[in-house]
Amino acid sequence: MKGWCGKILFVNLSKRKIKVLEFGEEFSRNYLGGNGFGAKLLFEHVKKGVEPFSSENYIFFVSGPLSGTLDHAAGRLGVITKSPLTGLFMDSYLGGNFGAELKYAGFDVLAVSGKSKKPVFLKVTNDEVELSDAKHLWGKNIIETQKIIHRDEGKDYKVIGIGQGGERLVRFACTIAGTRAAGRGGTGAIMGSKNLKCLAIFGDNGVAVSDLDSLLEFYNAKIDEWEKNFKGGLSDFGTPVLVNIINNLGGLGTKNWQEEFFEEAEEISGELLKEKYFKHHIACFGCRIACSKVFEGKCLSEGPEYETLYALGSCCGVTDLKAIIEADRLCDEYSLDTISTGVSIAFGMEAFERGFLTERDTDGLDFKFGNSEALIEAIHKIARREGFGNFLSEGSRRMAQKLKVDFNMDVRGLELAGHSPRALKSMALSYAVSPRGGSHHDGRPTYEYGLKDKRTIEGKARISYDSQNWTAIGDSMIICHLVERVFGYFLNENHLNLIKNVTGWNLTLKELNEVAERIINLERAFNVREGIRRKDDVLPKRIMFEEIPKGSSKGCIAKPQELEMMKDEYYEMRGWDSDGVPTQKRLKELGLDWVEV
Amino acid sequence: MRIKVLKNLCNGCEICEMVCLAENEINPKRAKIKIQHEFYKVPKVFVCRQCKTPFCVEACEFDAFHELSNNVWRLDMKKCTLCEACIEACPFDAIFRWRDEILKCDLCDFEPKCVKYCPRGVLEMV
Repeated sequence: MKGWCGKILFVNLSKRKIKVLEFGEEFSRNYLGGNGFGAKLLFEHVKKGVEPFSSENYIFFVSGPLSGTLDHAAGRLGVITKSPLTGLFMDSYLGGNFGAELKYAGFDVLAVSGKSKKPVFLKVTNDEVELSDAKHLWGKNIIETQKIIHRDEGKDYKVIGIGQGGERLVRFACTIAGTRAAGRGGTGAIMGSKNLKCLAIFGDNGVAVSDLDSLLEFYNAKIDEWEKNFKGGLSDFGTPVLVNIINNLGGLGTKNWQEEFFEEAEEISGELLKEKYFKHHIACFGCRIACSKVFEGKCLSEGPEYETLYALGSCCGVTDLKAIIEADRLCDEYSLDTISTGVSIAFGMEAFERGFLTERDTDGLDFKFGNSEALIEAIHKIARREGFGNFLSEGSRRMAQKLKVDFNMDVRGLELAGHSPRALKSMALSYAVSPRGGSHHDGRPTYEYGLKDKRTIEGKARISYDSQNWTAIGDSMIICHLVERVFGYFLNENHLNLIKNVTGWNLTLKELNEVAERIINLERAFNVREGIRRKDDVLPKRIMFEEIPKGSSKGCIAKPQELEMMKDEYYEMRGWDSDGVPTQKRLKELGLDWVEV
Repeated sequence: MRIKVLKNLCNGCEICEMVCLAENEINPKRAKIKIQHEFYKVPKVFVCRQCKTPFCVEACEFDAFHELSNNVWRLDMKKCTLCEACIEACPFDAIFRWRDEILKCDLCDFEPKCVKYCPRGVLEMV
């Protein structure tokens, strides 16, 4: 097989046992890689009802057939587990170069199960695998941790791991490699629950590709399009360029989504960030966009990205860019997802302003929207699970349940990303049916941003459906979703070419869509097995019952009746019954008849 | 001729490493050019400067280098003993080892792919 190593490394931390399983072409053809591999492995290995923090949960670090090849932005890694935040299927991805390194070490997937009695780290040097004591690393932030690994083991090791947030089981703790985060859904807390501080990997094998000349030719043929699509935008400013754009469209979540137009957006805009704090550009492995930026305020940080400016900025009403840069750096060091951190803090701020929390609850913090000092202090407290931080570290949904209020801005427990489900109808549906919940990567907002017709639901279920097929395949290859501007918002010939040049396979679009269907149905089946049905495919109450009060999208709302109509359409396209359960017929067509839901 | 690295421009995408020796497989660890990442800093590029007085050639006790043209030296792996004297002698840390190969840039017949494919124009033939 070209593109894959054909090997999965299994590590059981309870038994300290290591084994390697080989797989053949059938597995690759059915599930492709990354997301697909993770969906299959998680469904098989994590049985119904397994508590996410228990030793029976697995965490899979997955690469894809394109990882480590020259294909655009293909250094990415997926982290797949049962989420401590949602209790459901979770996949989260990071840029940088760890995904490529895993392949160079000779593995497509690294699977960790069990629970170590003491803190450990896992060292992989090509096919040598070693579990080592991590006492000296425990309690350290993840940037320090990586520096210690580089000092002790050599600079060539790539590290993925957790800071204090992961160790203390903050439900939205993420995993960090370099300065990139697999942000969503609490993958870092799962590592923490297993007493696994980090993985350090070095590989010096090559990855075989089917047709290097075609790969290079394809790479060169698109050069003009890269320039056209990214220069003056993502390449120059990075994702922060979206702050003004999305605010002007009236979809920038503000003050816990009470509004979607942030009066002070200019103060946290990508343009201002670049002008005042920019140091230099950073690219992920194999990427020519280089959307990542290093900024310097009080401290250096790679980021903030758009999502962080939304979550820690507008959503908390914070306008102090220096504080946001510092908060971004802290979240990275502690390994906290900036989106869930920001939106959880925003929930706390609304609860405080409305009198559901007082200074007695917040350890004396004046927890009003816009208070950047309280924001920074809250992040420290969350990572330490200290006092008020312990409450915040459970995430919006659990906090709302405790306070008996309903202004928590999450879907399935995962806090909303910075793309409006009220202003974008396809996003409303994508969030609602997403296996992950409030993620902007199960179905992308990008295509609908470009549409004039944003207020009707006509055709939007189809957009969501097609977009999800692309994200499932993109996350399986694995390539970055930002390339959609060049390669297209939906699956097409470009994606077939990308796969062909590396693997030599002549897939048809129908076959590729079928792989996407298989992955999405399997994820849905996992969630259905945990009890998810149609009634759970809903949006936060505010999104469904309150209109956007001002800005360009004033009056927009995701009405329950509209959402139900789109769900009907969507379920039918996926082959699910009216309760949102994959039908036996559909599962059989996809070769998933072994799946019991 | 040599490859000139324009200062502070590299983004660290490592495309140069991937295309360097790519044939049927891609292996940046076997590249004759190296990118080094440091937290929050501009990535550094390491590649042979084709010195006029090549320290590597002088350090070699086994006559393993031969001159292709003016100042461009190629390493003959048949003569190389992997003693790494050249690696130690290079003041720019621009010679590397991958398994049983010593990697020193010899400009790929003056058409280096790294220069061609670098998306930021960090590398120039001068």
